[in-house]
Amino acid sequence: MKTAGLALRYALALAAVIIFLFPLYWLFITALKTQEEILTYPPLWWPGSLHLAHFARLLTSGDGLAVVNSFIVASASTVLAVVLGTMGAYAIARNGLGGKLFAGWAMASRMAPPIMLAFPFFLVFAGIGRVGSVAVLVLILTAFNLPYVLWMMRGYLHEIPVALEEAALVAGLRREQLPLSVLWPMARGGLLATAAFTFVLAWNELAFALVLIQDAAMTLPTRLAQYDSRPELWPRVAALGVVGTLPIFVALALMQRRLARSLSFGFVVD
Amino acid sequence: VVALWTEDPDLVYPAVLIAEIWQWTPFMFVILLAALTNIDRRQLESAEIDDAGPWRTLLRVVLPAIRPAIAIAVLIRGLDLLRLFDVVWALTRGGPEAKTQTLSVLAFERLTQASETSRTAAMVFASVVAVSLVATLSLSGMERDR
Repeated sequence: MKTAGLALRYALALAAVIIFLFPLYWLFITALKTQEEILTYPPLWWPGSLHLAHFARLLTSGDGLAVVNSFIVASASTVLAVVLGTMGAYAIARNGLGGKLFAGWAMASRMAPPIMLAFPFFLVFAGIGRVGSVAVLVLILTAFNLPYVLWMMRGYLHEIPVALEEAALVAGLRREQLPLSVLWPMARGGLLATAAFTFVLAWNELAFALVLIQDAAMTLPTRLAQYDSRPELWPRVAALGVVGTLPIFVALALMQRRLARSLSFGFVVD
Repeated sequence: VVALWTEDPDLVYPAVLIAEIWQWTPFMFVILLAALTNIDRRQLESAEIDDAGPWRTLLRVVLPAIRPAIAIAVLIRGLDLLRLFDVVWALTRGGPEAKTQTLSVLAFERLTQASETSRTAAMVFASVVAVSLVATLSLSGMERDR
């Protein structure tokens, strides 16, 4: 009786995993199918052969450039947001800067629809003739992700006892040595998780890029959204989608157990 | 010939709905799992000692314990849905016949066509204020619960 119940539980869990992994699986095998295999009915549940031509085409079309652009934008804005945000978070965690208003402010960055914020940004950058450059997108995504870094890193830094820093000072360390010798080893996991999640946010960002970026500076999500729904485009879109998911796996590996905390903006702690 | 749900006026709404649910249910799962693993074991043990039974344990111990996490999950997902853009834009562009039009899609279309800029800005501003108000109230409600 007990083993039967256990078996049922595992069967249900397995079914749920299959259901929710299925779109990802379908993305991967669609990218590997040939044009004819896409349209057969009933569908092919696994590809007949490993057809890599769609990936090869990524390199020669504008798709490859979009991947490069996305990588530059996401990396640069993540580094900027994490460096600036961590310094700010330290001030908040140790000196109480910002006080109670802070919670509302951090959430506010998530409340405003990005597509609607994008337009005033567009007017500003059009005014100074800078629309369509990667640098503009880096700047905006840094600003957009900064409150998130502040919010998350404030939580992680808060968990480091002040006594540890005081002990280090007593032991003869100078104040400017604290970040690298005390804080970094203690907050490294949280910092990596925050950086990974910030990277994912920037990597997936569609609205700002759609409004502010043109042709040569196009990012991966804007490029993906550009394709229409003609079946002959499906394998190409899928191949680009596969490339788009790869950094996400790396980011997830870095976040590991801090995933829930990152996703809930630090409200649910695990 | 392929018939696409995203082009059929009767099926496009369910299509977007299914895509959203399919994509975001695991996110809710992760948040709630974290909350569930954080439940104090002793609470569950005393419920068992008191012979509470599975249903009463769920209703009286487990759900109250993860209530803040449920509230946060609903708030985050609710705000995401109010701003819904990516999935709709990629799947349907808001069509057919504006059946899957969202506030963000409407704003994007109006703004990129550069017509009625002030009116669109007013609409956007009003909706941001309304959303902020709801979110602020629910957040302060949660703070009081703690």
